[in-house]
Amino acid sequence: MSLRKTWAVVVKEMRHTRRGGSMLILVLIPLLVMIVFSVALAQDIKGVSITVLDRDKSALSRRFLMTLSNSQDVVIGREAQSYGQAEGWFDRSLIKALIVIPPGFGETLVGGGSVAVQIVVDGTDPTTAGHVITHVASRSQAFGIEQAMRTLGRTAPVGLDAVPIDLRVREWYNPGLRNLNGLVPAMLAIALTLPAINVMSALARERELGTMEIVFATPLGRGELLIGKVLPYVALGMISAVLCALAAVAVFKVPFRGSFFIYLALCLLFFLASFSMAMVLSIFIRTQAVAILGGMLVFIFPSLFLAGIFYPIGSMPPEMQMESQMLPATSFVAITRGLMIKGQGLDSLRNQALILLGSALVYAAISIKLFKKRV
Amino acid sequence: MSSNEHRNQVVISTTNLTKRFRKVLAVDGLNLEVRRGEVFGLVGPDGAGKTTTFRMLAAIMNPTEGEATVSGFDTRRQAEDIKHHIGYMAQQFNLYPDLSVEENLIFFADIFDVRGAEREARLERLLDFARLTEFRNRRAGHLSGGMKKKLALACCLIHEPEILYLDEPTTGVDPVSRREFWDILSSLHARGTTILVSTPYMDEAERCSRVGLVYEGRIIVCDTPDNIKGMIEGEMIELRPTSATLFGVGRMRQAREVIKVLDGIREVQMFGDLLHVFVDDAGRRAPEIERTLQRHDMGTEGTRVTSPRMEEAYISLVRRQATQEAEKVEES
Repeated sequence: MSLRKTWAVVVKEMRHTRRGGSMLILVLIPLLVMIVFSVALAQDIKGVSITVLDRDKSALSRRFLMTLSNSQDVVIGREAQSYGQAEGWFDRSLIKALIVIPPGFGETLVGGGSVAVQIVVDGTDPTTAGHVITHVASRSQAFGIEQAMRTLGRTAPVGLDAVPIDLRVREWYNPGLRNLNGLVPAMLAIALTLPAINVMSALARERELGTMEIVFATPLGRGELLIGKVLPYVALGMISAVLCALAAVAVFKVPFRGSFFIYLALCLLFFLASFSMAMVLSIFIRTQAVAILGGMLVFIFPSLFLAGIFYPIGSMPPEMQMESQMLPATSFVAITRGLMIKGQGLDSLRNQALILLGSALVYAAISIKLFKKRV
Repeated sequence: MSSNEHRNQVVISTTNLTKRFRKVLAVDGLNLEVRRGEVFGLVGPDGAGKTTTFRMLAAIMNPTEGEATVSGFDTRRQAEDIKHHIGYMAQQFNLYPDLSVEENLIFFADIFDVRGAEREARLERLLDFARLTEFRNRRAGHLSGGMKKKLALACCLIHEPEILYLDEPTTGVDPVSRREFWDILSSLHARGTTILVSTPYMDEAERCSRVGLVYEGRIIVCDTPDNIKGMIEGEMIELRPTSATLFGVGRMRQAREVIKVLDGIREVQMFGDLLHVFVDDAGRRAPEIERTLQRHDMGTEGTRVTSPRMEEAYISLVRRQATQEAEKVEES
């Protein structure tokens, strides 16, 4: 194993990326993918307008509506004069949600009774609908408890324990369950699987050009060739890793609570694992077109759906769980989330890091075993 | 070791070398010996198994059966040892088109561990040798066909190998560059480099020390160009048939058909608007041929007796081989 020969391959590979004008593109693509995916998949729904049909028009009903729009999640939009009018607005897709306050709302509540408030939502947009329902339900509950306490307080002075259950949700690590905080680190992990596709494409390129055949006929060792070809992409990948972390913090305001140094070290480990996997796949691939398509199929899509970003790994069928664990992205998603949002250190991330190290070694061993200097 | 013994040393040797791809038998029990300092030509039609042979001898493809040794090393078990001794130029353009002439050379120098002042010296020498000095900064992809071939050759030579494998190095190259390329090979030959070269061009085959005629994965004849030409017995009459009524291929076919059946005629080959007639005795047969053509209302022009060239010899030998093979199939 000669460092000098390995370096010759590195220099050559760097020249290819620079000549193709692709070095900048290679560095920026993961950043763009992270930003686009994060923006597109962000589910923080803000400022949904709710139409109101207030048949009570009492002080209490006004206060109830105020409570609903206290946060920025929903705003109280236009006011309907009749049920029929609101129905027409739904039909013409002018509104998505309607809240109907029955007559006698205020009086009943003051009297200590219970009232039914109706929410009507446009079911063709389940995401917004679900959001409105959850929001209104939780606000109404809070309003109801507050109101009950006032009523009770007026008749008999009792303490807090008069209300049987006081459910207080505490969202650890991510107060307010800010969706982006979970999403952006995961998309960062997905975006950093892209450099593995570059590795596959670079190896396929040599086969396509026929230069692989010539290089095989020289004393250049397999290790020198593979390491030399992969190293430049590790370097470019690390630059992407830094840019993506900066963008997560600066653009998406995601906290970065862990150590940046550990982040870089684990990114490196992740590249070693995913690039080794790419090398194994490259043994069976002869053209760049197949390398790029195959790389997307193997790296991006399974990582998106199997790495536990949208669906918890625990609820997948056992064989899918196994496949999920074989993907370096699965461990890496856990690492980026844990490191950025929870501020985990190496002691907490040890298992994931060990899985990455293990798969790097296994895939590298397979590729060295299978990669032959034969055409 | 005396220089004579040195010269006669066998550097490439194959025994029953065979390569089978699923159903295709690309190389079929090839036996070959190339001696040090020879320019050995592998001549044969496309698909005869020349490229597969090169790959096996470059130790980048394992034979299905048989074995080969290069510089005393076994291609299967000592592949990496062989690679220090050979320079392999594949048939397709096999350099990095986005790297400059110089960068390509430097890459190959580096992976062969040619360093420092030695590297610079060889670089200059090879650029000069291949007449590429003024194009040193041009990207390889922007070179002309002939220059690409010369650069590929220069890249094979950077480690000064004792054996050169050149797989159809001049295919698709203009005649002037072709001549130039062979002049370069001649000077390498003069320095003692062993060259194994495949070519579809017979004029190039004539420049080899020995030639192996490859047909369907086997070497059917292996000898010096002179001896191969001598294998066609008798003499060759070259003539141009003329006719007032028949034109083009029709005329050529008609002339061939009537000549073929005459006494003492071994073979008739069409060559453009010329016929090459192989006969036992030119002095006796030439007048008979002219008379026969006249009887069929045809004349002749530019009749002359020449000795057969490689081209005629090759066609004749391949044809003979094909006939034998057909007979063998019929027998079985």
